[in-house]
Amino acid sequence: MSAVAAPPRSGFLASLNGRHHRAALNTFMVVVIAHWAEHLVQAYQIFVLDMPRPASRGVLGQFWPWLVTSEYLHYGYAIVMLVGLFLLRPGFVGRARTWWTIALAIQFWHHIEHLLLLIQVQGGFTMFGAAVPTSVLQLVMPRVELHLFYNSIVFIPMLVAVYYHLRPSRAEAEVMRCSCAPRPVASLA
Amino acid sequence: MVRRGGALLLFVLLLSSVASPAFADGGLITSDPAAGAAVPAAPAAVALTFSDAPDLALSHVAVLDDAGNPIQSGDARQGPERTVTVPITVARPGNLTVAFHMALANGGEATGSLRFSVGTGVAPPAPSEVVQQATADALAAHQHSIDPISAFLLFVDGLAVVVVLALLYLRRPYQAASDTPDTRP
Repeated sequence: MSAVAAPPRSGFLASLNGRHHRAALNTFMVVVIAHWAEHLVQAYQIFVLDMPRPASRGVLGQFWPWLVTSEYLHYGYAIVMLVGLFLLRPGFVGRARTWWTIALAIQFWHHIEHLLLLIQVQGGFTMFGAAVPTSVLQLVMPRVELHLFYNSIVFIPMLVAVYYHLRPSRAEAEVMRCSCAPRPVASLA
Repeated sequence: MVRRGGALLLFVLLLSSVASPAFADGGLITSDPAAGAAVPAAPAAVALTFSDAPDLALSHVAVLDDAGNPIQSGDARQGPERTVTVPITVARPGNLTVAFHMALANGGEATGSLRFSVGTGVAPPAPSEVVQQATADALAAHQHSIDPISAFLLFVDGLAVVVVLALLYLRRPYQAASDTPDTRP
């Protein structure tokens, strides 16, 4: 695949995807990894501490249990992911951009699913004839499996994108305009 | 960096294990019909009110007749507030047992059973062995199991992170020669 689509050269997006791209990407990845760390803590609570599943709520959930079941939190995180994927996309080129775009497209649908849930919760009604607020994919998969499913199919393309962004080919590196681009080094010749 | 990350993870795990006991389980506050009541006519539903709002997605209620058979006629509904209502169909006078296992919004759990009679004129006696076994089975079936797909996905995600970190470590970045113009901002 050819290395294409370097970021625009002026404005907020240009700055974010230029000299601030590494810092912004690092910050975004910290948020994403922190979310996974919460799930790892939950797994630790279930498998190692042998805590009952409803009591295994990660770190934040231990102090604010309502967070775990809050539709606002889930929708908020979906929005943060969507905005982050959208804003940081111009900084990616070549294969990294392709994988990042895949993650963005999946996250867009994930966000629609959360929006459906939030509307049902706020409106006090349910859709698809279900007894509880239900998303589209939830019709074939239970809710508890959906959260990790959606986040996984967004997370893995993101990881691949970040890998290609940090280890670009020569062609890709030559069109990168962000602060993640490889630094020139003294030639040995 | 790796050391710092490991220390942070250890801190988080310790914090998590220390924080857990701080949240005691909640409990059943009241029910309609009340525990031990002898109601003359069959109610259309059983209502249970807890110390905190139940999370229905993680909760279960079963209403059993004298033979230990479930008699719920629909899904449990939440509301108002901390109350859960379960519609039932009572075919004949007898003693009913309500078994519940609730996850509460405050993080606690409420597990137990209560009995009342319908149309017998007397309070329900101690449950028969059949009903005791059916109640135990209902509660056991309601225990929250670990979702294997989520566990698998978590493992795959963790593996993906490890693979990417290993590749980043093993494959050094492409480096442009010094005569290449530095286009970075």
